[in-house]
Amino acid sequence: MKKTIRWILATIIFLTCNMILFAGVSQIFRQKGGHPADMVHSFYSLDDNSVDVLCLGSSHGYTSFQPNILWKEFGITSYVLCSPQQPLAMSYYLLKEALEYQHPKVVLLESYYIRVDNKDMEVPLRFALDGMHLDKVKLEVLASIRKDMPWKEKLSYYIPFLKYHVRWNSLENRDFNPRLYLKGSALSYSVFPQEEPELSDMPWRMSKSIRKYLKKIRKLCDENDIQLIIYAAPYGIEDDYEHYVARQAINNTLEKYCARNDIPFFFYQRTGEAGIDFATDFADHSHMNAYGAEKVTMHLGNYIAEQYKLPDHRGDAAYRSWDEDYEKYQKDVEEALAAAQGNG
Amino acid sequence: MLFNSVEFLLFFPAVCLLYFVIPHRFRYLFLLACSYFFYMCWNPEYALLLLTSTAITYISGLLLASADHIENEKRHARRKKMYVALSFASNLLILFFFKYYGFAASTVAKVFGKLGVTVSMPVFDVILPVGISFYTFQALSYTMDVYRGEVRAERNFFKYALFVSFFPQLVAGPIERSKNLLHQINEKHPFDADRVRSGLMLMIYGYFQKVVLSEYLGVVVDSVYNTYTERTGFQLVVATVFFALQIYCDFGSYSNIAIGAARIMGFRLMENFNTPYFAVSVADFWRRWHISLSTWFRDYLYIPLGGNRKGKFRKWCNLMIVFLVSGLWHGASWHFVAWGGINGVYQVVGEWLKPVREKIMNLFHVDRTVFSHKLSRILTTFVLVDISWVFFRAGSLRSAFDILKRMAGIGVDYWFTWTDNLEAMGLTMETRNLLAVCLLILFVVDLCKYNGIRLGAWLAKQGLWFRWLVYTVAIFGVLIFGMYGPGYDASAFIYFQF
Repeated sequence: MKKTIRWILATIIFLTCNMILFAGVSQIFRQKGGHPADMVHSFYSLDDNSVDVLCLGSSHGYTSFQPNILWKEFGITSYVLCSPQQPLAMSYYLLKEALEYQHPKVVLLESYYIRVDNKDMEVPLRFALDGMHLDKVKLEVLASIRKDMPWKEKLSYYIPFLKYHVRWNSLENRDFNPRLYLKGSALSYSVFPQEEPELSDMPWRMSKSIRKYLKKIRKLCDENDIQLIIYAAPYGIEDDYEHYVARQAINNTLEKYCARNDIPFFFYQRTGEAGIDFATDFADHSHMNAYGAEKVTMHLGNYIAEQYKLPDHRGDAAYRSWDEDYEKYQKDVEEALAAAQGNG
Repeated sequence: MLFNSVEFLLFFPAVCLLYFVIPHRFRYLFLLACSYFFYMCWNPEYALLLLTSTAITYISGLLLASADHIENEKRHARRKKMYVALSFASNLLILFFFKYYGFAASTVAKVFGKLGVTVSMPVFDVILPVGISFYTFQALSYTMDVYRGEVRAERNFFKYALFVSFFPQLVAGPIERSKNLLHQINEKHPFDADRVRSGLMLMIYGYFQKVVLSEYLGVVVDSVYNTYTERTGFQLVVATVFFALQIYCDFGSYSNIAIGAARIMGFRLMENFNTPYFAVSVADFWRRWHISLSTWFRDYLYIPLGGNRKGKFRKWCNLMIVFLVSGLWHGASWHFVAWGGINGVYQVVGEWLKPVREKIMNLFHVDRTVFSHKLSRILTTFVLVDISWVFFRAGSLRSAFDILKRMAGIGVDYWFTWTDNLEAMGLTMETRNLLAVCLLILFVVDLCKYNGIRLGAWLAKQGLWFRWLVYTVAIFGVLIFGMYGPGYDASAFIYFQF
């Protein structure tokens, strides 16, 4: 009897150790989002209730907003919970997940992917979901938006390692060292000069599903006393002008939608209010670089600070880590600048 | 439900947990239900075939036992022979219909076609029932064992049905004998931590052989063999050596997982592979390869045919018959028959030339006690066996000959540059390193076994930290480097098709 108990105990300890190891290994192997910050997963490393502003959206979100600048200039804490090609439905669920840990006062939603209903596509879904803890929100996501998915495939969403163990021969430094201090944002100083394209007034008919999730996001914000702000980061022509106009059309529709629903909407390319310069502020055709991100962040920061009187946490001992993170960020900026100059 | 599927990884632990909780006297019923569930995951209807084979051989056992009451010796013998014949005929007929009918029909049509006669044979669209060759042979061995008086006829139908359908070895062996497995169903198998651990370790090693080694080797083999007309001789040689290793790992893995799974539940299954590539002759190879099938053929075909008791010529004929049938057992196609035939020819020619070999060796004063002599025999055997594997792997006789010609460098470039060759086979540096490490592990494990070192027992004696380290490395090695998961279509074990 004594032997059996000892054996059971040893087995439990062994399994626990291996489970912990498995969780760690899983995080290393998980396919990371578009850049070193690993936004969704590193979100969990924040102190509870420490973030006042949350940014949702696609790569256009994480390349146009820099939490470290918002901290330095306004003392406002923020996090970028974006992911590549983030479907609007996932923005909703990520907000829901975030609310389990944080009580933000402002939510920023970048508009680029509101146009496309891509929640059925594997890649964007995985980028948004893989980093998420396995909890009730994650279970709810697949149960509600991918009812048709076979259970075996679902399992690989719950245990992303099943999918990503094949990465053993392509692991990189950033798999082992995610740069948490970037708080989900990107950092690129490469410059891609381009012409500023003309905008049209063409509207876009939002699909039923998009409307549904916009409404759900609004409702969730209302229930939690959160101010929702939608903004459109500028971008240039990726393939041809026709597609470009079609992509921008969503912003014309959103402008009216937001006016109707009393949501602040910043269409930066139309209003020019952030002072974006197409000659200097882009890293490629459609994504802004750090210069552009700084301008958008400054504009949004001024607006938020003025309108919603968010607390300035600078100098507060409880937020010292934000200063430390800023220093790390600063070091990164210097390195990135040196690298960009070296290339130029 | 393949062993390397999520379903099995859920199914098996659940079965084990319940197995140890259920009182002993109900366990065989529980295992029987699990076994049929396991089988029906492939194709529910074919469980009826399994049941039919089980019923026929079960009844044959009872009839054979009842025939023992007949006092007239002649009548007694005749009656018993009739029961055996009926059992064999009906079982083999089912096997023939499901596995060989298409092959036989097309062969007949072809032969008559050559003679200018058109024959239209009825066509049946049947899928080969999984594991039919395995369980049919297992069931038939029971009829024969009862006939020979080696086991008593089993009266409890459910116990007997479990013997035929025991899920670890149901679909790809080892093909068990009633004298080994049947009585184990009555044994009590209390939970034994050491036994469970050893079974688990064997299963993990099996998974390593399957999802890491066999799969990575298989990618190279498939890519080269599927486009062999565009390959250099060197690439075909490498792919053929890889295939020898792949089929060993693949089939060996299934046996190891089966034996390990059965061991966890307290059952001892027979060994199926004993370091086959260390064999010093083709005959030796067949004593080490798929032992449960080789001994089946020995016990139930070779010996009844007269074995080696009726002179050299008869012995050689018997050998050829056994190996041709064995080839056919592996698949309803001429290239399998050729593969079996070649292995038979090797042995016949080997024995025939034995005096010549002896003379040559005496002439050159070859020392037969040194390592180099043994090594030369091992390598020769490997080359011979590997040549026969070409017939096994190639899709047809014609392509097998074509591949052999190319391997010999006839009519093709033998060599690009080193890097070109490797790239063409999809062997990146990472894959190469991984394969090298894994093959080294395989080699060391087999070498230990060959020299009588029992690695499992050795490991069990080590300190806790060391054992845990080995288990953890093994588990994570398989999890990380294995080929499985979404986007990867779990390839069936090669031996499933037989």
